Amino acid sequence: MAAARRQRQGTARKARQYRQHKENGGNGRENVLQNIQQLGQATVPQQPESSIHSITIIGQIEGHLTLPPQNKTTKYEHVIPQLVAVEQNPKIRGLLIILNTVGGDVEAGLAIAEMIDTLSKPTVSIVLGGGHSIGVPVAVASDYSFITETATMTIHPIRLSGLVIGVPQTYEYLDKMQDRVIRFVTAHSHITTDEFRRLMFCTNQLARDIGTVLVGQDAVEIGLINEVGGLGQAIRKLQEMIGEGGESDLH
Amino acid sequence: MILYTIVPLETVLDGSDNYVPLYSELPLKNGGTLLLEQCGQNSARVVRLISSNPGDYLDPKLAPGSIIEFRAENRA
Repeated sequence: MAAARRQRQGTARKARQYRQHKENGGNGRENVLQNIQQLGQATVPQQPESSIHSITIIGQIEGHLTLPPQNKTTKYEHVIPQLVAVEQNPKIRGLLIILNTVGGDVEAGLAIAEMIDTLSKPTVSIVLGGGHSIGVPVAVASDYSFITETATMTIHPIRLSGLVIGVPQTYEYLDKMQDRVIRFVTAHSHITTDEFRRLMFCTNQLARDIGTVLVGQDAVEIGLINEVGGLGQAIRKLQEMIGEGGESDLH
Repeated sequence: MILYTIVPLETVLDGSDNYVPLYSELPLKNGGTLLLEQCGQNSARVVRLISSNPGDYLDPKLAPGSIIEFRAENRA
């Protein structure tokens, strides 16, 4: 009888130990395998908590429709509460926005852009690779923007898909939607409305579209982006802006 | 819905007819909900976090795409 009780207790203890073992991260080998599958590397570098947070805007900015899985997407329903968290959390002093996007839903893109613009903490954006279409408002929304030398930004008119009714009102609607984007970009950068429209309706640059491709330095010269630079410059600029806010000890 | 992108629309929406994801919801301890898509016997991938606490959105374990594993618990 005592032996049976001891056996039951032994089993319960083993179950408890196994649960604890799993809670503590389980077998180290499993984590490594997981990391290699998901991220392509065995261990992810750990970092002490930083006062600068960064948000990446990648692939398609997904809006009201979930895109098929072959698309890499930025889920705006996750980015926006993250921006709220950044605004509220007193430990976070600045935000770095890293863009490599091919555009996406207009409303989701403008939503993210407006949130970044109205954040009370200093924000710096870097355009790497590409900051096309609706990525343009997101890039210029921050307090200061950088673009790497090889990055490109495509400025082109918005397009409508699905059933298009051939009446003048359709064009007026498109123009109104387009105006939202143009107004935001010109209000947050040094480019004029006429210049931006000229880039948008340029006919001799893109093979299958109307518009212009700006590469690195072009974007700075035209007044869209503040400076050519990359990660180092962006972080330094952000720390500078945080420092000017009167706070000490930043990292 | 206007998709303002340089990628041709047929590439972006390719496969949207056959893509029917099956989601399940998991209530979190502090009141939020996690939307999961089953991707294996004991694992599910986070699709979306719904929570009123903005701090939750900074937790990498709850970010969309992270895998959550569950195991059957043996209550002796």
